Amino acid sequence: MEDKLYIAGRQVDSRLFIGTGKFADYNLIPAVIKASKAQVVTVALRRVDFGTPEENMLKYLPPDIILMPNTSGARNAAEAIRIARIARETGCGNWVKIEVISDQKYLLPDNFETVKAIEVLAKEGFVVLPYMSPDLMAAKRMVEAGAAAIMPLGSPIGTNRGIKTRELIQILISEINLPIIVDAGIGRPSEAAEAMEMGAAAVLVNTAIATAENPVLMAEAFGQAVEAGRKAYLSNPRATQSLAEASSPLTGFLRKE
Amino acid sequence: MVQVKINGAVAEIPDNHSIDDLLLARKLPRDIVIIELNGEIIKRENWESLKLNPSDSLEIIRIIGGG
Repeated sequence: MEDKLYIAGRQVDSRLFIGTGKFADYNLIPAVIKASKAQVVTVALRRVDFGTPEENMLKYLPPDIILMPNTSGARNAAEAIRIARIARETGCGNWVKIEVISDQKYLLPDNFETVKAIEVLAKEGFVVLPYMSPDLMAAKRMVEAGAAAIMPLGSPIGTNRGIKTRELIQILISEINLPIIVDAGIGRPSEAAEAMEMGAAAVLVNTAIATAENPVLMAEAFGQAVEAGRKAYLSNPRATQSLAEASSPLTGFLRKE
Repeated sequence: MVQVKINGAVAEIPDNHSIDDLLLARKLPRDIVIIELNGEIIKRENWESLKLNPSDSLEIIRIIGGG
């Protein structure tokens, strides 16, 4: 069955996007990417720390992936725009995950500043994927501003709490004519499958893989869960019902009628 | 010596220091960093010729793991 994901006209072969933060060792990353079969991989930008030796993080990433730098650290649209432009200068391509956060307790994204950043960056030719709080009106503004996909959070970053925003994400899936990628909060493969069964186009997972005791095995599990969830969605499952319905025939057997 | 700001901290560098000179002195491979000078991204091809001036503000950025 033909089922391809396209973002800004580019075919994406895996519906599992992965983040590269929080890994105990960059050496794990090639095996994680391979086991997960992920094609879209996020990275971040930071000031060089003169106190520690610098490593070229990019050398751990296979050449055929789509690199998606994020704008983490940005507290407003101007900072996100600045980080995105720097990211493009690295030669990582023109995809960018917009992440504007000024709330340090829950790390919830600022949808208003995010819309402003999308407007500018989309005009500059970036493929913009905004991380956002799932709100239909904000998502519509992001579509108008030129977003290539919408990435609502399932629960706060790094919490492993799953899809607490389920009803709101379901509305986005139903009403927004762009890929909806559930980003943040997915802690278990079953939750990734849940997002895919809901009709999400993809999920982005970082903490759950990076902080598992065996990240490579967890990456493989997430890859399988995303594929399973997608197939379940495409199979169009029947609605739930409250009363039982026998799966085996109940006609008279070993019983006098 | 010239006083500049590097990643937010005041630093003293020799006169007529270029961006490439600075990276070499700080043992930073040029292929892993991006340079912003006074808020403007500086293309790699200009790192050799561009000399740093007093009170320039330099950001030296790199890619790291992130989600």
